[in-house]
Amino acid sequence: MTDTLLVLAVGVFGGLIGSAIRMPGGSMLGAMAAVGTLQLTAAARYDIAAQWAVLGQVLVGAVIGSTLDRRMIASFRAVLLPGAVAVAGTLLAGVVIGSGFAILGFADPLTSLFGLAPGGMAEMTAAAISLGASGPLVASMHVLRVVAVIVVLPMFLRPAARRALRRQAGNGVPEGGRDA
Amino acid sequence: MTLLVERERIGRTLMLLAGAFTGGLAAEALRIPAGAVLGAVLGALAVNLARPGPRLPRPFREVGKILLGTVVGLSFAPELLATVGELLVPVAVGVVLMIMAGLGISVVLHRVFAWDMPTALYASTPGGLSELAVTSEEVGARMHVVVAVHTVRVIAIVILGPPALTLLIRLWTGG
Repeated sequence: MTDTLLVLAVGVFGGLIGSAIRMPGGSMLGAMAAVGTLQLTAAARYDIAAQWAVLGQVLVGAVIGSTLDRRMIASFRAVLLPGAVAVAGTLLAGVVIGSGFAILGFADPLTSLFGLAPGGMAEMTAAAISLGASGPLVASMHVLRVVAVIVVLPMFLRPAARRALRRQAGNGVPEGGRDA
Repeated sequence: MTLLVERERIGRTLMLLAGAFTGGLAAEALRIPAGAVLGAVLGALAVNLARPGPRLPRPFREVGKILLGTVVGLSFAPELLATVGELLVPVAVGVVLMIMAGLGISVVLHRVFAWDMPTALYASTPGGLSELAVTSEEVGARMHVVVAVHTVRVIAIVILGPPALTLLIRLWTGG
C-alpha cells in the first residue's frame, strides 16, 4: 500500500512537471521519467497492482471514443477515398518499417511493430503493454518519432507548405485546394 | 440554470466513463488483444453515437497518460537503458523512413486526388494530432481534413492494430 502511494505520487509529480514544461508527450513521459528514476535509484524494486495499468488504458480509450462523433464521421466521409489512402498508406509504412526493424534483429516483432506504428504514443504504449511488448522501448521509440516530427515541422513542412500555397496562388488555385 | 448545465455535464461524463469501463472490462474479460483500450474506445463511442455531446474533459486523458507513464517507468532497469541507447540510431532511421513515406503519400494525395499540398503534407505526416492540427491552420491547410484523417488514423490503429499485429506475428512465428 505504501509502495503504491509512493509510486503514484512520484508519477503524478513527474507527470505534472512534464506537462508544465511542455515536453513532447508531457504528462506520460514526465511520469515515466520520474518513476523510472525512482526505480533505478531505489535499493529494492517497486511494484504496483496490474489494475492501475488497466485503469490508464481505459481512460485513454474513453477519451479517444468520446472524440469520434457524427460530425467527425461526416467530415471523413466527405474525403473518404483520399482520407483512406492517407490512413492506409501511413499504417502500411509503419508495418513495413517495423517489420524491417524486427527482421534486422533490433527488437522483438511486437515491440518493433508497436514502436514504429504511427498511432498515438499513449495509445500504442497502452496496447503494447497489454500484449506483452516492452512498454519502455515502445514509449522511447515514439518519443523519438514525435520529437523528430516536431523538429521536422518548422524546418521542412512549414516552408514546403507555404511554397506550395504560393505556387497554387500563382496558378489561380484558390487557398484550401480544388476540392475545399 | 448553471446548476442544471453543470449537472448535465457531470451526467454525460459519467455516462461516457460507464460506457468505456463496461467496454474495457468486458473486452479484458474476453481476452481480446489490447482489450482495455479497444473496449473503452468502442464503449465510449457507443455512448457518443447514442447521445451526442461534448467529449470527455482533457484531465481524464492526462490521468490515463500519467498512469501509463507510471507503469512504464516501473519496468525501468539498467539493462533497458543500455538497449534504448543502442537502438537510438536504428529508431532514428526508422522515423526518417516514416516521414519520407508520409511525403510520398502526400504527393499521391496531391497528384491523384488534387488535394492542396499543405493539406496533403499535414494529413500524411505521422506526428502528434494536436501539434499538426495547430500548425496546419497556420500554413493554410484545411484543418478539419487534417484532424479527421489523423483521428481516423489513431482510432484505426487502436482498433485494428492489436488483432492485426497479433495475427501477423502468429503467421511470422508459425504459432
